[in-house]
Order: sequence, then C-alpha cells, then structure tokens
Amino acid sequence: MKSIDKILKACKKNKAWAQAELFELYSDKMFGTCLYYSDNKSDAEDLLQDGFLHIFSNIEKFKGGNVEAWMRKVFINLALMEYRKKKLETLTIEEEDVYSDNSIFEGDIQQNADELMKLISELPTRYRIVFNLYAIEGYKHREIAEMLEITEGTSKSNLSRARDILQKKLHKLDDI
Amino acid sequence: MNKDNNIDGIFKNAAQQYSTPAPKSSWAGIDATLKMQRKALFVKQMSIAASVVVVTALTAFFVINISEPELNSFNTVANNNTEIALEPQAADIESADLLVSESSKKTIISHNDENTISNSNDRVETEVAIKNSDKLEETKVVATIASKNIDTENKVKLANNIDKKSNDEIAISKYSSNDVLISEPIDNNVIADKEIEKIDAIEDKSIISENIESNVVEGKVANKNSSTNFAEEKKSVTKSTSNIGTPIVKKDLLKENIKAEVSADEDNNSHTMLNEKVNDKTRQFEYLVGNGYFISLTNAKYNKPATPISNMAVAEDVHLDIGFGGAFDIGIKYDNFIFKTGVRRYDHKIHGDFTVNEFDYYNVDNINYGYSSLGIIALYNVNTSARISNPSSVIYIQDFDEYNIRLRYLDIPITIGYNFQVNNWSIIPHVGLNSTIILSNEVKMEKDDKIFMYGEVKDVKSFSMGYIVGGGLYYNLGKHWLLGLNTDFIYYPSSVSKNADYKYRPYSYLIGPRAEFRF
Repeated sequence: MKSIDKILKACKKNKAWAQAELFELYSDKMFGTCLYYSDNKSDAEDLLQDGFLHIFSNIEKFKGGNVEAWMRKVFINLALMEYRKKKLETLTIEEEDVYSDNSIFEGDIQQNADELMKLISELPTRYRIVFNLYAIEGYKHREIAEMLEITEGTSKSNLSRARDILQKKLHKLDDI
Repeated sequence: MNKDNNIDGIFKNAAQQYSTPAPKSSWAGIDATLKMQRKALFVKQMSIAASVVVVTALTAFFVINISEPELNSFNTVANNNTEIALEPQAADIESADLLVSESSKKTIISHNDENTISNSNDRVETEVAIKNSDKLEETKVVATIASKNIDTENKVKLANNIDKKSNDEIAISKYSSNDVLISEPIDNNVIADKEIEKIDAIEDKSIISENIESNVVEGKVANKNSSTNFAEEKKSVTKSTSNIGTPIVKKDLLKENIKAEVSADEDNNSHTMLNEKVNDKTRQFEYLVGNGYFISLTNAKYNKPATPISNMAVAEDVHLDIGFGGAFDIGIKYDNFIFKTGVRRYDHKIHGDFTVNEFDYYNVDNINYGYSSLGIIALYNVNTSARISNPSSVIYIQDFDEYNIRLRYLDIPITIGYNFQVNNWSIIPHVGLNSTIILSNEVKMEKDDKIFMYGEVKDVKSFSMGYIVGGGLYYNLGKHWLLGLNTDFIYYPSSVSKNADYKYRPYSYLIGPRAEFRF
C-alpha cells in the first residue's frame, strides 16, 4: 500500500492507479457518509460516484491536512446541493411521537454504529440533514441556515424535532 | 442541554466509526467516467494541437502574403485577338483561363493559356491588372505582342498607375519608389533602355522588327535605390518562324523588382520549356514524399520505486537505450514553409543488468517484494505471461543476470519547418508534435543465456504525446530529389508509464538518413 501522500500526488497527475487506490481507501467510509445524507441507497450510490468524480477533478484544490475530512466535506456539499435541488417545501415530514423520557441516555448505551446510522437515515430528510450538520459535522445554526437556505429558527426547530425522534427511536431500540 | 449533547455525542461517535462497503459497481461507474474524461481530454489536447498547427499554417500563409506586396508571379499568354484584362472588353475576349484569387491585400490574376497566334498579322494585346486594395490602387502590366510580320509593331507596355489621391506616403514609398525600366535585348530595332522616372508614368515600348523571328522583352520595375542591372536579366532569343506565342508577363517580388518577360517562341519544345520555367516560378505549392531510417536513442529515466520494501536506498536510474526504425512521411511545401506528417515505426530495447545491493524474495506473479537498485523497476511492474522454468516460490533476485524490455512504437509526427536554401543544400529546421502509439511491450528475464520468464510491463500507456524539435540537412539531387540527414529530438512531458513507480522515456533522439521527393 502506498502512502496517502504519494497517492494524492499521483491523483493530482490524474494517474488511474492512484484514483483507484484513493477510492479503495475511502470508499467505505464515504459511502457511510453518503448513506446518512441520502434518502435511499440508490441516491447514496449516486452521491458516492459524483463525490469521487468531483474529488478527482478538484484534487489539486486539496492543499494538505486531513484528506478524509476534506473528502467528507466534498460529499456533504454535494449532498446539500442535491438537497437544495429537491426543494425543501416538497419534502414531507413525518410527524412522530416524541418521548419525553430521556432516561435512555443516562445509562451506557452501546448501540452499534450501524443501528444508530439506520436511525438517522430514517429521519425525515430535512431533520436528518440539520441533525447531521449540527450534531455530527459541528456546524452552527447560522451556517446551517445559510447552507440550507432556511432561517436559524427553522434550523433549531428541525434539530429539536430530530433529537426528539431519535430519542424515541433509541428508546424503542432499547426496549427491544 | 446535557441530554442534547448526549444524544449528539452518541450519533457523532457512531458516524465517525461508521463505514459500510461501497457497492462494487460504484468504482466501475467512476472508472468508466474517468476514462471518458481522459478520452475527452485527449481529444481536447489533439484539438488544441491541431488548432496550433492550423493557426501556425495560416499565420505563415498570411505573413508570406503580407510580406510580399507584389504578386508572386503571373503570366499571360496571348491568343489570337484575345485580350485579357481585369475588366474585360467584351468584344475582344475569348474564353481564357483566369485564375483569380483574392486576399484582403490584393487581387491576383494569372493566366496560363498556351495558345498561339495563328494569323501572322494579328495583333494581340494582353493586359493584366493587379489590384492592391490596401495600398496600391491598381497596377497594370500590359503586354502587347504581335506577329512575326515585320511591319507589325511589337509593343510591351508596362504601366504603373497609382492613384495618388487615394494613397498615402506609405503607399507611395512602398510602390512608387520604383522606377520602371524597360529593356529589350532584341537584336532588332529596339529602342534603347529607358527609365521612367515619374511615379505614375506609363511607358510604352515598341519593338519594330524588320525580320522578327522571336523576341524576348524584359522589363522590370526596379527600386530606384537599387543598382539593378537589367542586362543580367536579359534572355536569349529563340528562333520563331511561324507563330508568336507565349508572351509572358511575370512579376516577381517587389524586393526583387518586377520583371516582365515577353517571349515569342516558335516550337513547342521551347514553348514547353519556357512554360516549365514559368511554372517553376509561379508554383507556390509543392508536394513531398519522404522515407528515412534512423537510430533512436532514448535516455530512459526510472524513478525509484514509490514503495520500497525495506530501508534499502534505491537510486534513480538513467541509462541509454538504442533502437532502430524507419519512417515514411508526406508533406506540402508552401514557399519555404514545409508542413509534414507521417509515421515512424521502431522498437526500443531496454537492457539492464541486475545489480543487487540487497535482496528479498518476490512472487513472480504478484511482485511486491522483490527489488534491487534496478531490478525492482522491471519486476515491480511485470505481468508474467509465461514461465519457461518453474522456480521455487522464493527466488532471489540476484539469481538473474539480466532482463530485457522491448517496447514497440508507432509515431505520428506533425511538423512545420522552414527551408533555407544555400546553393544546393537545404537546411530545414522544424518543430512539431509527436503522437506515440505504443503497440506492445515485452519483458524477458534471463539467466545464463536461459530465458526464465516472459511477461509484459504493467501500466504502460497506449498513447503518449511529445514535442519535436529537429531538422534536416539535405543535398539537392536535381530538381526533385533531396538526400540528407534528418534528426529529431522528442520530449515527452509525461512518462509512458501509468505507474508513478517508474518513469520511462522522458525524451528520445532520432537520427538517420532520409530521402525526399518533391513534385
């Protein structure tokens, strides 16, 4: 296995072998990201392809640092672009019961990542994206509002709703 | 708040750990798109290259035309009662082959008819006008020639009409600084040479021949600052017994003065010869076919492997390789510019001895571990196609004496050159683009003259582009043939290898004899 620096350097020269290796290295991780930013697996696959093509054609913009974080950002930006295309108002939000009991978070919860990501993927699109951006990626509400072209208040509200739904789902999961 | 942070933290941790196998079809889709992009990039690069060639050719064409404000040449042939003019006088005109080409600078009219005057008493007047739209309003050269009848007046008239009103100083300096001199080296009653001093003067020259057999009249518009000697331009007179034909009015470069020739020849042979001569002068395009053989030298440079197996120091390696090949090309010569393309076929055989500083083992089908300061380069990138012997699974690299790599190339060079003529020698420097198609590659490993393994180098491109700088020195063998030495230096901006582990053939040098036929 070649070092990531060598691979990136070769990618900048448009070397096929390096592109293949970069894909090999990060495709699983990035596919995970694609899954919890997409509505379904098919969209995630499309996003994965678009993301890597975008990365290969813009690799020279990567000036160093954490390549995984940079790639992740590329995928998120592409997901958001896709999201904006779909028009927020056309997206439906499934209202679900919200559990007020949050005791589930007080104990040690050892849910595996797959199950937790599945819960995220079940969130309504806007909630899911706001939650991902805020809780996972660490964006501020102001930034999220700009990215999604919504108000800060809406962002906060969506985040709150997402948390409530996730709490409820976690509770259910725990019950099982 | 704690609750929120807690849930955020849970999912954040999960997201950071989360990874799921990407569908295998994803890479296939990405790879296909990347290949298309590369193909598109190649087409784009080729388009740019083609555009550069076209633009260069057009630039050269226009530069030539602009720098030659005169007609390169034209000739007229008088026919019986035929008058050829820019603005024809309908009553007197018969069909004539007029070739008119226009550029932004001038209108060129030439006429190549070869008719002769059948009636000895006929009088033919030929007028050709040259229009220069930018500077010179109109220049007329009128050649009038009559039959052999001794009473007929043979007249050559050169006119240089300049519309002063419409021309500025530049125009005048460009054209009107020429004095018109007319000289008739005829052994008849020829009026002596005369100089036309006025810019817009029109001078008629008459030749009264008592016993005209033929005549040659030459005139030229000379730069008054030059000391052109017209006597040098005089032509011998040929016999004429019946017809008068082929009056030729020819204009050469302004820098070389304008020359008008009127020749009356009787027989077809002399007529043909004369026409050939005129055609030589008037032809702007020539075609060429060439064939050559050459020695190719490549200074193959290999980068040290990107993934060394141990802490062993592996140096870059550069060594000279020699090949042989042949070439065939075709081209066009326009004035002194030569546009050429063709094919070249040759092999490069790269021979290397293993010099083992340290060794490890390798698996011959999946070479990831074997290396030496040189051997890794070959081995690391080899796909085995056949094993002659069947060694044990652990083979020490030092067991091999040598390896050979042979790459087969087909080059398609496109060049533009300039022909410098020095006496019988042509010196033709050229530049261009070189497209290389790598037809195949072969790796052979040997020990004690016994072939151990055949294979091929992995990740070699099938196509590579390079730049050519070169030239030729040729001796002109007669009118059509050139024989000499051609050389090309080809620089490849990128390696023929797809693998960053080694770089092969960054540049090569070709030299060898070449013959060229021009027609």
